[in-house]
Amino acid sequence: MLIVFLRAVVLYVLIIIAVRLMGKRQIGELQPSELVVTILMSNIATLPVEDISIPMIMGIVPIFTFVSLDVFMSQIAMKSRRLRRLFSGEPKVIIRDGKIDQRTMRDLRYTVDDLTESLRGCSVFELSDVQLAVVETTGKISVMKKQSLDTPTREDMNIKAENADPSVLVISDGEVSDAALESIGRDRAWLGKVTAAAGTVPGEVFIMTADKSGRYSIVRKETEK
Amino acid sequence: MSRAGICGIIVAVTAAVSVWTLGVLKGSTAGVIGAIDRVIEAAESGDSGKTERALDELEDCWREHYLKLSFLVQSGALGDISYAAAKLRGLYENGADDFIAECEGIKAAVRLVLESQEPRAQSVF
Repeated sequence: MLIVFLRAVVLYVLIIIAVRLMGKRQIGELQPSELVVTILMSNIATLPVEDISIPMIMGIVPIFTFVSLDVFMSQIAMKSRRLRRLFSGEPKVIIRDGKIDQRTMRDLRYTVDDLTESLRGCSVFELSDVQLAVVETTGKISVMKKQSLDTPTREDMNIKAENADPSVLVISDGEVSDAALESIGRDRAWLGKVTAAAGTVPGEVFIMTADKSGRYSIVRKETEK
Repeated sequence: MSRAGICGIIVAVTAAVSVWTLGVLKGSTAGVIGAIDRVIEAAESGDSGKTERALDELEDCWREHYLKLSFLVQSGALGDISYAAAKLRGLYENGADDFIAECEGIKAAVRLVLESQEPRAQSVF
């Protein structure tokens, strides 16, 4: 049992390293090749944990080989559009000007239920509202509504707006982020000043956000009673 | 370092360690087979002292080889060889007829384990 426990701990650490090596895309939207690697990886990882007669190395070597191959393939695919299409496929237009391309739907083996469900997920309840819908390589649908039905922007209405960066998290649970301070062009001296003005010190702040204009918001830590 | 760089290092290290391991296994297997040959030779010569010493040497040699193999081979296959090797002394002391045959059997099994690790067409596909 101790062997299974130790193997599980080691494989957990190694799989986290492997997933990190595959990159953040892994967590969000899986490309077909990444899906294959993920399925294989989860299957292979369990073998040496379940069966202690299998050497650990038989799990570690294929996991890192798959991940390395996937990284190499995506690196090569970045340089060649043709290879990218081969590995990941290409996006397909499924609705154009409110009309469904039934042939493409058949090719993708996309059912009407899949389509309406995806459209509802994009807050579209009428087919005629869609200008263009594209099935991405991940299987997700991207929808562009007809412009006549789209929400007007400030620019459409000639309302002036400042394009400013959003606030950044300067202090999180008493911990100061120097990188965040630098991104808004401030330093610890400024931080000390504003926290003192709020009657506290950085270590006592739960959350502090600030932007480049110097606007900030402070939430103090609650004291335990 | 870029992801591709890290993966390149991982693949290169894996390939290098695989080749090195195979070399170590070949050397170690040759050692075990040599030890079995010495046991057979001593048994056939009828020198019991020499055979006992050869059996001691084989036991040490197999223990060392087992340790190396256990990182690479499923323990089931190794367990069978260990079981057969453990029987040898008893078989010799009782003057069993199949002592030499058992030694040859262990030799073949050790050779098979090495062959299963060698990248041959039949083991890859």
